[in-house]
Parts: sequence; C-alpha cells; structure tokens
Amino acid sequence: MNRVRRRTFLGLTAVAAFPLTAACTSDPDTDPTQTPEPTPTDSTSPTTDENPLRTQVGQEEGSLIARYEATIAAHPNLSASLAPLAEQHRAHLTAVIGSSAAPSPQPPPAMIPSDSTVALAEIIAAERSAADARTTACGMATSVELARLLALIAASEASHAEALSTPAASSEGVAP
Amino acid sequence: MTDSEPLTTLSAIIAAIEGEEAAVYAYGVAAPRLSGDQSDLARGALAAHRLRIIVLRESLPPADQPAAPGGFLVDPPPDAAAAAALLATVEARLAATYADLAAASSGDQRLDAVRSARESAVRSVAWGAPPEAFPGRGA
Repeated sequence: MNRVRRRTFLGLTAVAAFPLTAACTSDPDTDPTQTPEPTPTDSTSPTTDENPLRTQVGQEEGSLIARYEATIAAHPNLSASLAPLAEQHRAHLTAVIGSSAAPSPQPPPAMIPSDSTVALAEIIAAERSAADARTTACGMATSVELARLLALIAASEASHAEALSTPAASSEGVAP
Repeated sequence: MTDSEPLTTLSAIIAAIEGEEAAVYAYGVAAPRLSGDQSDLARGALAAHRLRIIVLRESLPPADQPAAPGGFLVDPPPDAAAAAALLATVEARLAATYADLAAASSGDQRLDAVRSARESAVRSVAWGAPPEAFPGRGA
C-alpha cells in the first residue's frame, strides 16, 4: 500500500511541478517520474514478425507525406500550416521503419483540388483516416515498443486534424 | 510508471488513473479563469475525464485500487492564458500515459487506451498547444 501511495504522490506532484506556462515542447526528460524510458525512436530494431506491419504503416506515412508535399506545392498559402505537420510525419516514418531503411518512393495523390479550402479539407480527412488506421495497426502490434509508437502516432495525427480544423487557434492561440 | 518498475498492465492503469485525477483537479483550478467557449470546452472535457476514472477503476479489483489522491501542488493559474496552458500540458502528458497503457494492454483495452490518447492529444491542441509528432514525449 505504501508503494501505491508513494507512487500516487509522485505522479500528482510531477504534474504540479510542471511549469504552468511551459509549452508542450518542453523536454519531458527533465521529469523522470512521468517520462518512462522508452522513446519513439528506440524501435529501430523491429522484430521480424512485425516487419510487414511496419512496412504497411511506413507506406501509409509515405503517402501522407506525398499528399502534404503536393498540396504545399499547389497551394503555397497553406505552407505555414502544413509544412510543420509534414515534418512530423517524416518523424513518424523514421520511427516506424528506422532511419536506415529507405522508404519506397510514393506516387503523389492523383489530384490536388484547385480550391485550397477543399485541398485542406482533404488533408484533414486524410489525417483522421490515418489516425484510425494507426489505431487498428496498434491493435495488431506484438511488441510493446511498436504498440506504444503507433498509439502516439494515432494521437499525433488526430491532433493534426484538430489543429487544421481550427484556423483561429493556429494563427493566434498556438505558441511557436 | 516510475523509472525503476517494468511496464505492467496494472502499473499502466494506475498511472492513467493518477493522470486522470490530476486532470480533473487541473480543470477545477482552471475553471475560474475560463469563460464562453473555453468554459464549454472545459465542462465537456471534465465530464469525459471523470468517466474515464470510473471506467479505469472498474477494470481493477478492489485490492489493486490506487489510493485516493492525497493532494495537488498546482498553483491556480492567474489568467485565461495560463489556465489554457496548464490544461494543454496536462492533456499532452495524459496522451503519453495512455500510449503507455496501450502498450501494456491488449484487445479492447488497448484500443480504448488509444482512443483516450487521441482524445487527450486533440484537447491539448484545442487548448492551444502546437501538435506534436509524439504527444507528451516532446517534439
């Protein structure tokens, strides 16, 4: 019982000790009570039986990146919103398939809508689909590392859809 | 989950309960600084977090229930911006905690944990945090 009580105290204190005004980009490694050892990039040694799953997710991330790049090329006015998120998908890709593995080149999506509002809506829809696909993939993962990674990516992609759906937040409320 | 203990389903559930109880408290101290749409967002989130606590506690036998929270050291945020920043931080951390629970569980419990991680990451962004590649883990 003491163990549980102590752990509870640590957990709550850890939240309390987090600087109130800190952005989420603060380094969580400074707080060992809330940030366990594994990091998303520690999964570059995939077990063989998970390779097909990693390859599949890697291809899907590659397709998303291609869509982002084509949309940015067609609509430079969206670049400020989209480029940072495309970079996060590149981080997802590296975490899933490892930095040494070269992703197979992805053909860009067939058509990027000429209306930037429609193009943005398609990106948002693609992020939601990706979050659902990552959720399903997480359910199929056999290692702890890949399951955690896919859960984090699912959460990230869901948050991308949210960020792109609230332009007011991205222009005013979001700290750099 | 503390650094010295292996990841187990029980420890991951307890960590999620603790994170949810801290979130409920954070929403309480933030509430006086919020108004309008932010109040509505906070009320909806608070209800969701309370429900998660019940669901998580129901998944544990009585002997494994974590103790009631003993206290919180969060200073009341001085204004709406600080309140939103507090909630954005708490939600992002909770997203990472649920990713740990997803890793430590299987089947429906894992899928439910992923859904919770997604919801918290979305709320963190709704409170003004920039999206992260690995929510709650640093960019």
